[in-house]
Amino acid sequence: MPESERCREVRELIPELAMGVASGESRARGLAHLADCVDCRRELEEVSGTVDALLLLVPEREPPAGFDVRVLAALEQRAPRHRIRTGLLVAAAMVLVATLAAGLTWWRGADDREVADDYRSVLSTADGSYLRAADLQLDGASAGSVFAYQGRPSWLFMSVEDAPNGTYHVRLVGTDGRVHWIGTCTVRDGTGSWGTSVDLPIRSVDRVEMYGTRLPTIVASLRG
Amino acid sequence: MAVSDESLLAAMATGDQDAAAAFVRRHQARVYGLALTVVQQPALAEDVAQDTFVKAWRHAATYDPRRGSASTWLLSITRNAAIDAIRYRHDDPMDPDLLVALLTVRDEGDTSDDTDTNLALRQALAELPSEMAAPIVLMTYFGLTAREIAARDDVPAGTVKTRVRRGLQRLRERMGVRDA
Repeated sequence: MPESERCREVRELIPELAMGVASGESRARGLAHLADCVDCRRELEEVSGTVDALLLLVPEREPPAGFDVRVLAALEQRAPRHRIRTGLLVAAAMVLVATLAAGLTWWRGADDREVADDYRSVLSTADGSYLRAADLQLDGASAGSVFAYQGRPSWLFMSVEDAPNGTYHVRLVGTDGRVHWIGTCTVRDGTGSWGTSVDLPIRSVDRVEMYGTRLPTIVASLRG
Repeated sequence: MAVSDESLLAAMATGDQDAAAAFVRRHQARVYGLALTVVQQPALAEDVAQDTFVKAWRHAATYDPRRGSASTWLLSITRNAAIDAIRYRHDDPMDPDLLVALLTVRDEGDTSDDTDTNLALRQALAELPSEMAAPIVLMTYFGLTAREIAARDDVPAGTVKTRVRRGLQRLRERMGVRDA
């Protein structure tokens, strides 16, 4: 497609990109072009500036009395740690990961074989044979982690941090290219955790992808 | 002299509770005002406003002043949180013409300074034809897509996109004229 035509197409999308309402596909297409086109990037910046200015027109309203105290209490409460929803799967994942982490710490003075023994011992406790961990990537930055466990049953657990709020549909893409939708993960206050058992052998999973309406795509590669 | 928003955010990022308190008190009317406009229910607006400050506090370290003022950064967080809330509840957005009227007339109870840019933008928005102003506010404040607006108004999505784009261009030109 000639560049001017591509620009025309993307410029139609720019208001929706600036307001964060473009669909995942449009957003991906727009951002791919914007990465290479200075003029369209400038247009996006200008439109974003207008949108920001529009938000400033809203009349100010004093919230109910005590609002500031409640907000500060909420900040205080959240300060020490991230909230994690409990559940059997979360607990299982945490125990497994923590045990492996302890093994790795202890490894500093031991040899590889002992670490491998410890890893195998942890897995065999849960009748498992394989554990993978991978970064969830959002626009090139880490947005949490995925743990995938091969056992009986096999399961996948994800912990999301610093991602836009909303309901993400989670799918696995197999090494054969086939897609398996496995459920939804809700992100609130930028964080969320979710897990499920999976029928697919973990070794045959290429990547985990998270999609949502008006949400960025988050991907974790389980390969390599 | 008052401490700048940027300094307060930088202090918040290190866990300074006093900075957080000053920042919340400085911005709460603006944040709550936007939340209430979008969700239209005081209790829910309060939840959204609180959620906004929690997010701002959590992401204070990522705020980049080169990309805009702390107010616009905060209002953008508020907007997204409010849109999430109404989408979750499947609430209908406010009548866009009513919202345009609310935005274009300065509120009597609002004692904050109205900048030249705000004045120019209010006037430009008031002068836009409803067919341009309505989809712009539905998209900006309620997060509706061009396709959703098209279905609601029974017009092609391409028409909505063109109206929004031209409308925003007019607003920008008027703001630019005022700034010059």
